[in-house]
Amino acid sequence: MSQRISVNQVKYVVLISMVLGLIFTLLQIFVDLNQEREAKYGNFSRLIEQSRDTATQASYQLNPLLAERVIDGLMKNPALLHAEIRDDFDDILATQSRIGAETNWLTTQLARYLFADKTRFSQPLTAGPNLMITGQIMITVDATFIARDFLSRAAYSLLFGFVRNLLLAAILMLFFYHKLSRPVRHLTDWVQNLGNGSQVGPIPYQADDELGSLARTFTRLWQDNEQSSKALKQTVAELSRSEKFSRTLLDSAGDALLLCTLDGKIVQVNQQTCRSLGYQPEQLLDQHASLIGPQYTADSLRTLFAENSNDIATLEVSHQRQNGSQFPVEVRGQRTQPGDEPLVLMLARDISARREAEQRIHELAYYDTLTRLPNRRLLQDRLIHALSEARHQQHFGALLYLDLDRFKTINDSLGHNVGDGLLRQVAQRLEDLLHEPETAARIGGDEFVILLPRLDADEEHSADLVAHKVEQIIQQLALPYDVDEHKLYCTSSIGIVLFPHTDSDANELMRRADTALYRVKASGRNDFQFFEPAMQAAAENRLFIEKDLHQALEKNELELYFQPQVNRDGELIGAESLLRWQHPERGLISPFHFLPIAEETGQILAIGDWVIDEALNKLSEWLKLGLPASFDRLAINVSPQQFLQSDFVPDIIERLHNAGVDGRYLEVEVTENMLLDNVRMADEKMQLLKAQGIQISIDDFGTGYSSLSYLKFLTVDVLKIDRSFVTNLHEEASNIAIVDTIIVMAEKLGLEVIAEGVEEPEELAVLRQLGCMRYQGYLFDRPMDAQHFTERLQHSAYQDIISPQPTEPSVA
Amino acid sequence: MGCKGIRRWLSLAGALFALVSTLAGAQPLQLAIEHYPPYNLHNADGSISGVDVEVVQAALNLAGIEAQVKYLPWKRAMKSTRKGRIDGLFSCVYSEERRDYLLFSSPISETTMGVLTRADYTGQPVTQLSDLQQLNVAVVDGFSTHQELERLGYPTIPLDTIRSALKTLLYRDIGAFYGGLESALYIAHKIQVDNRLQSHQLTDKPPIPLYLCLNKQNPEALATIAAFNRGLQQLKLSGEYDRIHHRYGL
Repeated sequence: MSQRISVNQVKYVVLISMVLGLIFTLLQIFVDLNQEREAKYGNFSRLIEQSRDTATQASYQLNPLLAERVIDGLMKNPALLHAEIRDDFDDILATQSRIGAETNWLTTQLARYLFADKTRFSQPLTAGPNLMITGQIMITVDATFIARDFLSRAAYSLLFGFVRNLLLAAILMLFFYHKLSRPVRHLTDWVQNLGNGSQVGPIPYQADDELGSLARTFTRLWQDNEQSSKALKQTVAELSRSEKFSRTLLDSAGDALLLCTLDGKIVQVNQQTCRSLGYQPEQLLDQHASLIGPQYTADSLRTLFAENSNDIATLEVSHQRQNGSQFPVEVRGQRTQPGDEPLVLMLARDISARREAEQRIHELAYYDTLTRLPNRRLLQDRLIHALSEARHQQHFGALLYLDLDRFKTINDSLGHNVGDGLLRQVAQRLEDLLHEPETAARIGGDEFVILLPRLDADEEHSADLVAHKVEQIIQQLALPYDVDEHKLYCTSSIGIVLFPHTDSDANELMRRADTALYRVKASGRNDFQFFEPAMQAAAENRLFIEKDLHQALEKNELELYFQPQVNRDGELIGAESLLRWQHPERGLISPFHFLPIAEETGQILAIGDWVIDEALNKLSEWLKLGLPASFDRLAINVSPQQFLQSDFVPDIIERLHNAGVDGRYLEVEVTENMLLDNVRMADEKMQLLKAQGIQISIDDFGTGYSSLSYLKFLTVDVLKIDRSFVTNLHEEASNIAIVDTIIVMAEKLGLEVIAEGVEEPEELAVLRQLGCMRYQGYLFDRPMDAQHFTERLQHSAYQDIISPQPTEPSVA
Repeated sequence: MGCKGIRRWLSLAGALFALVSTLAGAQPLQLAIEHYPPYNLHNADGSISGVDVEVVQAALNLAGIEAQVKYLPWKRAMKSTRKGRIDGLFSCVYSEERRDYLLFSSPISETTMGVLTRADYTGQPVTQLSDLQQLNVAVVDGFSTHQELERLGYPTIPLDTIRSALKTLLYRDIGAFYGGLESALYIAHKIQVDNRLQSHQLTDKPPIPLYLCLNKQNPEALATIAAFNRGLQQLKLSGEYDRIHHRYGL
């Protein structure tokens, strides 16, 4: 290598010095050339200048003799090849030439190249004060002659420069070899010997310069390195022993040990980890930790074991075995950095047994051991929560206090085992009856409490719902029980309290429910009682309607009433059929009370059919008796459920047929909302009804979400203005505006209008003034039974009411 | 046609020529002279004067021709005329060679070609041109005398001016000067050497006339010469011609 360095040195030193020398010599020659040219050119210009006066005289006088003398003088200069003087007529006054000095080819070429640009010099000759041009003097110079000296100098410069550079390179090479290359070669040999493991000799270079410093520094580093290397070997050996020890330690640990990166890649596991999860170590290594615990996402690990956190994080998660089963573990994890990359060391302990114990404790604390139902404590919690929620969300809930009748007798006579068995079955039946979030709790002996946390926003409706539920419970619990070969009969009593009330907390509610239960017991058991008397009444009322409505049809307790409809001439033009329930004990019951219940229970359909049949029967009778000429039709109300029945139209047609009544005598009243729920279906049915001549009227018009556009394409015949607009019409300007609008609109669409609830003459007057032609209301007649209406058909007399009017009140 | 008729015709022609000249927009006639006293003088201040100068200018004036006269060395004046750089020159001796390219006017004056020797000349008497054969003769380079002797094959020493010729005669080894005697003596007087010279008239050389010459190539030269001749005639008739000559002692 040292050979190469020294050879390179020589090569580069010689090359560079030659190139530099050549460059600078050429530069010098170039400068010299310019100076030479300036000097020579200056000389020739001066030469001409010296002859100019005489030449001018010669040319002015056109004197060839004089001109010849001038030329003779000029040509004495050996550098000149040619000289001449011309007059201003371009005639030569005198001229001379000679052949140039002989020289070699190279000099000639170089001279031409360097000086040939300017070998001719000339100057005009001028005379007199006006500088009249009298002629011209001109010389031609021998470029070779003037270049000869210069080229000779340049050649010597190049030669000397070359020799000087050659010498300089040789001296430098010797110097570098002695001072640098040789010591470097010795040092290289020495270092190679060190690398070969040979005996370390003395440093071959001791001078106090950079190379000496390099050699000493290298020696020191070499020795340090040797020591470090020994220490490293020793450490590796120790680490190897230590690793084996750690491995043994890890594998003997009872807990699962897991080492993973912050991204979740598993890098180390112990044997316990593999045992608990059912994996081989190689199945886990390099897998993501979410394989064994879905919670171990990269995000969660980074969050838990953030940088600069050396805290131990404890968490309870589930580990999943290879077979898919899961078990709870408590994990203690810590960030650690044994190498370049931060890792997470996790110690996972199986806590299945602890969880089970905790569960057991929880059950013991909050559940009844016999029935597994929640105990008083848990009930208390849930009640407090339900109370708060009911207050917050403004709905009602109920607390039921239940006690088994005659349980003590059973328990005493058949023994505790039978008693316990009965209680378990009661608990089971209760659980079957209840649904989330309802709770049944056993709070001691044969006492149960049932929490219905969410009922309804309406208190009475909530009472209804509770009453139904309670009836179910009482009914279910009253069924016979089979306990230890005994068939047991056991009824129950239930006290009910609705919540929330402003003054009631959980304890107060329990007390009130208990009080209500006491009332049941006092009044004869196997029943229920509300703590609030009003709720008791409402619930009882509803229950009785539901029960008795079943029988009302069978027992023929329903009846149709008819309210006459009158035109502006006072003639009877029709009637609306209205349903009445003549209860044997409670008397006349308004449809407002029982129809909503009938709708809920579905009895409305049977009732609706009855209404249609009954109305058609009556109509048939009246037709036979003979209707007044002014009588158009009888209206019946159809419930939404009935209208929605797919066979509603064929059914009504069949009934018309059976009764032998023409459809044109019948008017079907529907509500706006019924039509709007399904406009297409409604339209189809109405078309079919129309085909039978049946008229269709919109009941309570104006009270729904009137989308008036439907009036355009639904085949409606009559609009019934709702009583709410008619009542006190004469005193309500806004109602007048509404009624006026309805009437005008109906006229435009060709619809009839009839006003409901006309009770005052003033209302009638305004209606007449607005152009309403038909009326219905107490002003004319109350609804009446069929018998009375039959009579009214014969003798109607409303003209007195209609006219004459003594004074017409003006429309406000 | 009486004298009155001729005058009327002449004045009419002169006016017509003047008109033609004006209409042609002609530049002033460019004429050159050599210092040839007393006919033509180039004064130290650069001005020019002399018998011929005044005569030519007066005659041109009478002919209604504007002219500028300037000094040039004789050879230059002659070459400038020949090459057409100027229109003409005076005072010029007739020669066959010059006739090729010059138009000659009527004579404006005359000169006597003679020989000057040093006053102490004791050689053969000089009475004929052939006597010069034996002498080294100085002539003015380019003058007709120079050409004449060269044609004859006589030895000549051409010099630039009369003055240098005279000085050469006095101080160098030269036998005689051949040229216009009036001019040479005028200059000798001026440089105060006249008493050191001796003049010799040649019997075979009658006085020779001097002319105004114009370049033949110029298309207007003929008309100009004609007009000048008439102006000169007028000048002579008016006596002004003689008065000018008298002023210069001729």
